[in-house]
Amino acid sequence: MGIVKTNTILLFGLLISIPILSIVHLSIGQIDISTQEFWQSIFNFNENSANEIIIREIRIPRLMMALIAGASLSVVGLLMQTLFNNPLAGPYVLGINSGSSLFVALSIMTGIPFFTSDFGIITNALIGAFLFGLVILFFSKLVRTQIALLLVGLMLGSFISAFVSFLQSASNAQELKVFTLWALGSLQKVEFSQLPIIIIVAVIGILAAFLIVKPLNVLVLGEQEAKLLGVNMKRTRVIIIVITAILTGLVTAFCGPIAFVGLAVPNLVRILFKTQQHFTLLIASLLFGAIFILICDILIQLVEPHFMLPINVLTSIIGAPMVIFFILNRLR
Amino acid sequence: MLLSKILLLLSATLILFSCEREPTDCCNDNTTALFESTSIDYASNFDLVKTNIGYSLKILNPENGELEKTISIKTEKNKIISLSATVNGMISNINAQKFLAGVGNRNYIYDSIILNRILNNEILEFGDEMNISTEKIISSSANIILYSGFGNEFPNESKLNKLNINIIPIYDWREQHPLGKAEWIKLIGVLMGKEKEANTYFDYVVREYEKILSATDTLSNLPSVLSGSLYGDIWYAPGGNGYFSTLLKDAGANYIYSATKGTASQEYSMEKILKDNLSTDYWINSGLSTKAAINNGNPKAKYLKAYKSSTYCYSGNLNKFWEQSASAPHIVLRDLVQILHPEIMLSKELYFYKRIE
Repeated sequence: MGIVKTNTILLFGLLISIPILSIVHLSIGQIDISTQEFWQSIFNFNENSANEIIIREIRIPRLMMALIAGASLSVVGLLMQTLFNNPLAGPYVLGINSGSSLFVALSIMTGIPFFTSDFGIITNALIGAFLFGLVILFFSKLVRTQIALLLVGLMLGSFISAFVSFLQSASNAQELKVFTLWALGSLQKVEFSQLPIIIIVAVIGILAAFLIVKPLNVLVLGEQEAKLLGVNMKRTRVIIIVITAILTGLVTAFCGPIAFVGLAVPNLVRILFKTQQHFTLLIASLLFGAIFILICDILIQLVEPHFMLPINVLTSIIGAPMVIFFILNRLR
Repeated sequence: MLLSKILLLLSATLILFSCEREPTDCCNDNTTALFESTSIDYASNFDLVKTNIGYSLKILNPENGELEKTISIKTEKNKIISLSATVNGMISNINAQKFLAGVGNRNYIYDSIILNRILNNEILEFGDEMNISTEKIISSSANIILYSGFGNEFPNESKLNKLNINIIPIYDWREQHPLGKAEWIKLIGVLMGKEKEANTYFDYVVREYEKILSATDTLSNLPSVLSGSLYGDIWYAPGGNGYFSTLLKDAGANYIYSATKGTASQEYSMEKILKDNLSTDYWINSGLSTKAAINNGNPKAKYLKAYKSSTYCYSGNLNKFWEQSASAPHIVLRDLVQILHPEIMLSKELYFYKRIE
């Protein structure tokens, strides 16, 4: 069977897994829900019905955030790995996530009025992500090579992480707890009313990634070769940074920093699909990423009556052995 | 108009002042007889046994009730570092602030005498217990450190023990009965050379607590109560065997999670909280003090019936609650009765709590 045919079957498999897993995800929890209650909670919401409140305010936002976070982080991870031609790159190498962490840390752990005002954690995380996105954009204009930009991003991330650690050591137990909980990630912070804007921004970010499929395909050959083949490197770089800032900032703001997905999923997809066609890789990454977080969250929901697990813990526990397994099986 | 506002402000200040003195008023009570030795009646996580040189203190593990450590203590004025807010409150109750060598952080101190002594460098600040400087402890010449025992072992405990510095975990927060929690003041009294004052104070607390209890034990209408708040994705609610669950029961409440086991906090998902508490009457200890803060931190709470009109949190100064409430369970109980059964009218003002408007 040809690779194209295998990949089409794989993509189809991933595509039909999404609705099946979504239904499983929606139906697991402390209460049993009916289809009627599900539709009523969306179109004819009754504020006095516990079941409808749980569906509308907890299960639907949680499902949507699992899909959006998984898809967005995986797409960004793929873009970063292609831009830097490095399988170790992920959504966080540019320090954008660190920018969010810094602003959230400042909002929780300092008494500075601007950071502790009504902005809240979400707004602070968004401001942090976009501010550091701009900083990276500024550096991308100054440096010529991808590797230099990668180093700047990593150094910026390390510098901010050290500063956040300093804030943590100087904070009290209560503040430390709030920050640590945020840093563990959560799919449950989002409200139903916030979903439309989150979905719109995520869709725009992901669609924008499909507009640069051609330069991405050429970038695989290397930066110099891409230039020789007529790719406008500066413009491509700017577009990738903007998409990264939008999608990483969005997910980090509403879910906290979710580790591993952006790094692991694109690598798994490359191993499974055996292609450098970014159209296929992008679709596969966003589907696989969404499925990966959905499965993690289903497992979290299953153990929830006994103990509570943060999403960040499970993504790494499941993801790391998965990557090692695929590497051993396919790349030996 | 202005005059009436000034009068209102003055009267509020007077009420607040009179309220704030309440936890220590007992010590002028001369009705308690002199005693021979300290006995432990309510607390289950420590015991004091009289010896030739003072007391043998036994600290019991709250998880299994087994003996965790035995420390020989002298009933003289020890030099103490207190890293526990409840201990600081107990020290204030028996007016022993001058024997305090150190505290954690001045930002978490309510007692004005302790605060003044910090400002005058008579009490040192040691910061968080997990990052505490061992050298600073040694140079302070303190011989006892009291801490909450949230973690496993105090940093460098064995080294400090070799230097004759005793580390004592204060497991008052794992007691089942509020009076057991308050009874830890007897240990503080022994350590501070103020055994008599501590016993007198505790006897007063027991009498007051039982007086209020007698007013609620015939109540038949028990409003349902939810307690605790959301951190991250987890709602922490008092354990069914914990002291706060006992306080709610004694205040004539039907605490939703009273049947759960254990003294430590129980963890629930927001989904379970919504499922169990949509029509619960009261929400006590909401953690956040305004509706705006609740909407920001836990917007899903707006669906709880209690959120609309019957949500209560610690009033104003959080330090006041954490410092004073452990050794003043009678006042916490009075507040709870006042909230849940205003028809009994034990007092006109709430001391620790306020309703979130």
